[in-house]
Amino acid sequence: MDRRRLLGPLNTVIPNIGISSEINGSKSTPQTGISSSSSSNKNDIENFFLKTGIIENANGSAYLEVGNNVIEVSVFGPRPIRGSFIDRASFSVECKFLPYISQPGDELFNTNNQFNNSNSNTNANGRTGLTTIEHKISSYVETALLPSIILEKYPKSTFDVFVTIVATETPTYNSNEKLMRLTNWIVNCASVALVDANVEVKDIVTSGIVKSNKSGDIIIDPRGQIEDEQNEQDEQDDQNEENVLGVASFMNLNNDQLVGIWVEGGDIDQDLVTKVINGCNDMSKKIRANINSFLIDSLQ
Amino acid sequence: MTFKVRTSVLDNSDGSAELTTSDVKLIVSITGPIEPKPRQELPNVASLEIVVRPAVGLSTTREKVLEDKLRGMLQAVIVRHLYPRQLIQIIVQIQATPLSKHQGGAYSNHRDEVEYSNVELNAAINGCYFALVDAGIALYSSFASTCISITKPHEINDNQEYIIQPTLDQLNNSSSHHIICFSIEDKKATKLLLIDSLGEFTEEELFTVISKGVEQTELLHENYQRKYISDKIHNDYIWKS
Amino acid sequence: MTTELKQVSFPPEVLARIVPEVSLQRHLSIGLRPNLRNFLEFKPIEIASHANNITTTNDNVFGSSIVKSGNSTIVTTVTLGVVENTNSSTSTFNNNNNNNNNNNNNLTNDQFTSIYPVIDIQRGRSGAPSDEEMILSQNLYETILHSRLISKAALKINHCGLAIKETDINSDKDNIQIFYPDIHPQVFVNLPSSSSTLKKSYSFVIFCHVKVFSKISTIFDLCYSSIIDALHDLKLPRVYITDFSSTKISVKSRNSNTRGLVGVSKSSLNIDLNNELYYPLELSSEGGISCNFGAIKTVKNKQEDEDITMENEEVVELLADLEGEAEESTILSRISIIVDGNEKIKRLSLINGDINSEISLDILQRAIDVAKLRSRND
Repeated sequence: MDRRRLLGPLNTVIPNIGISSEINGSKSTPQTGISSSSSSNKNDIENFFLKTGIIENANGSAYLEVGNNVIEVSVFGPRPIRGSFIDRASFSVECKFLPYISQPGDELFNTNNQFNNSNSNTNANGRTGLTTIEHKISSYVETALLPSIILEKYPKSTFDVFVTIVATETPTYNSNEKLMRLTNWIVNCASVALVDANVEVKDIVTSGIVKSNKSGDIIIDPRGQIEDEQNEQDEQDDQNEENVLGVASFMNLNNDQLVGIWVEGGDIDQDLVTKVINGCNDMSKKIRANINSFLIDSLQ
Repeated sequence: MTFKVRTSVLDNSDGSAELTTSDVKLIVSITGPIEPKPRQELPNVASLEIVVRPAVGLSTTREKVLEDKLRGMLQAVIVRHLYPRQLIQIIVQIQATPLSKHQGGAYSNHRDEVEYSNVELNAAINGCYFALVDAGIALYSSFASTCISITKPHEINDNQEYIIQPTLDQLNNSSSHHIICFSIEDKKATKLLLIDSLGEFTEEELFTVISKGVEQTELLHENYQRKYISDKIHNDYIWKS
Repeated sequence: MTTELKQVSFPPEVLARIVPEVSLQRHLSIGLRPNLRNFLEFKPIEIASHANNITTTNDNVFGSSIVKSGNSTIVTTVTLGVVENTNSSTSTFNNNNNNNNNNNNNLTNDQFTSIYPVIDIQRGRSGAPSDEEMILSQNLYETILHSRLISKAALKINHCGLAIKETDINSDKDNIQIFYPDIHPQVFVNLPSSSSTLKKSYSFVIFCHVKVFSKISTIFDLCYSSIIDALHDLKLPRVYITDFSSTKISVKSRNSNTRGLVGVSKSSLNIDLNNELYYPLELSSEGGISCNFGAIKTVKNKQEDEDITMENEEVVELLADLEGEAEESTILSRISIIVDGNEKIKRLSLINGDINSEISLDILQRAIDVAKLRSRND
């Protein structure tokens, strides 16, 4: 029993989210994102909304909306450390979903989430610590951003980045794609938050996401169902397993230095990895151009 | 109305008091002024550490709220600048509550029953007074607290009832309940220290309750606090005569 | 030889950090607060319950609200749990049935219940809730409990449905149909076996998650508004029981393309996502508006007058809706009041933490008047 939170009577059970009893019997699917339907050109990057400095009690913050994803990043630091002397700053990223959101891929990871834990009689509001998925995202973002920060400038200090995921794509999204898309945008958003916090960085890290289908075509910034429509015949076979998804993050400095890469999916060879990296780099450059002009604008 | 006090009940603390009212029984222990931990230390005044322990089980958010209210009130009556960089530790151990008595001691986690934690707050404030005096901590004034509930008329002709020190059943039938704490100087209630009212009530009812609070706290002071202090001084200086 | 000590002067913002009380007094002496508001001026709040799509995009969320005040943003979401009614609590419902909900006077307090809020303030720390979060949650819980807002009867699940699975032999697909005793009475006549399962009675439990972004002042008022708004937005779903005890979920293995079946035995209570059957939560009374005030002693200089006497007059000023470090750290005498549209007070908490800046009965009266005015306007 949690003594620090009010989680309801001990004998409360969390009901399953069942089906709908509507007359036509079909499950009421939430409307799919506007984004996926309105995308005309495959290689366009989805529009995103970015705002900085919204969190007053943080040193820096950024807010990003893309598709149905809503991401908020707060940067706290440089803050003094407790304990013995360190000659460079330490850096941490903690990424958390709001408790009511069903996390992408949680049916696989069997997270603490109320729907999937086999003894599910727990209130999601009482969750402590991070789920496997949150750990996964946090560690990717941390790895990608770490090389960009000039840690030597901040001895005895710490930087803590807190990411809150306020909304995600609808459940109709393929979970891997949902997860990686989210991670991609968190990296971009967190980079802007670091700039907003006036942290000294070598460069701004931006990242991109691509998907390659069975035939080896690279799709930049995949948005859910585009691919599925073409392969409707082998829906049962779950063709997404054959696809390769990749997220890669770059600093433009030093010849597009690669600072993070995450590839998921079927058969991967060297050629494909190169293609994925190049595709991600293209996308990251477009985002970078956007962010650059945003930052220049905000200075004026 | 039962109101029994025993002080200096604990041998190893600087001051203590055991308070028994009709519903609530608790022990308050005061240790201080003592050396604080570095993070508690305040440069110009004494810091207060207030701990409330429930009758059954470990402390929860409920006790945190009691501690918070108690702190807000006590920091105004303790002459804190007399003890700079010192700590005064106040521990309230609740031994019986209206609910635990009602259920024959069995505590329910179901939260099926409505709780009235303010009844405990009321007793804790009164208990703290005796313990602080017992510990010889400087106070700006005396203080006393009372609990009053208002029962709505069932019939139009009935008057609404103001019940002093309501029982659990009376609280259950009440439309609102109030804790009123006054500082007392020269046997007169002077300043409002704390009001905590929950339920549904009008402004008029509130001011009636406050004026009843004045009466009650003065009575409490007259009948118990004065008597206790004169007894204490008499006993403390017994060697003098 | 003595070294001369130079007078040090600080710019206003530095002064505000080192001696907030001096900074506050200087502001007040010219009739302004550090946040540039008037003494009894509230910070505007925006409530956007129906402008958000949290409820429509998350199947498990049944009510939500977003409240903004300045940069502070509060996101409240309501999720549901179910608790089996014990015998003692069912008797409460029975007494209650004859009563009209509008007549709360005849009900006792134990026929009401509350919500279970968890407050999460974004503050750059992870780990257990802070004291502030715990105190806020508990205060909100107690306030709603005693204000008789939610009756136990309103949360009782009246018609628990039953799901029946029929396996179609031809297509090998399971066809699940849900029946409710009030909608399909004919089905229940023929279902005597189900009666034992349906005899149990259940009630909803309301969980609230309140996420606070950019907290800069006391936020009880904002959290309260947000929760009340989310409760107005709350729609309760139908609940059905599945007769079959275990469900099979297909899970893809990470390394191979084969599918495995994992049997999970969950509680057999399910929420019907048919939002045509959703019904709003019936609130027994009005929520009201929560306001907070602080009192601080100020010294009014009368030396400006042409006369010789430098008379200092001490006045205790009432400030509404405290905000900012200077006000929060200096003002210890506070009042928090919730008043509804009928001028009924739902909660009053007064603590005179600073005996010199005492909230007298006159000031209390003034604060109540302002709170009433505000609840009327909104």
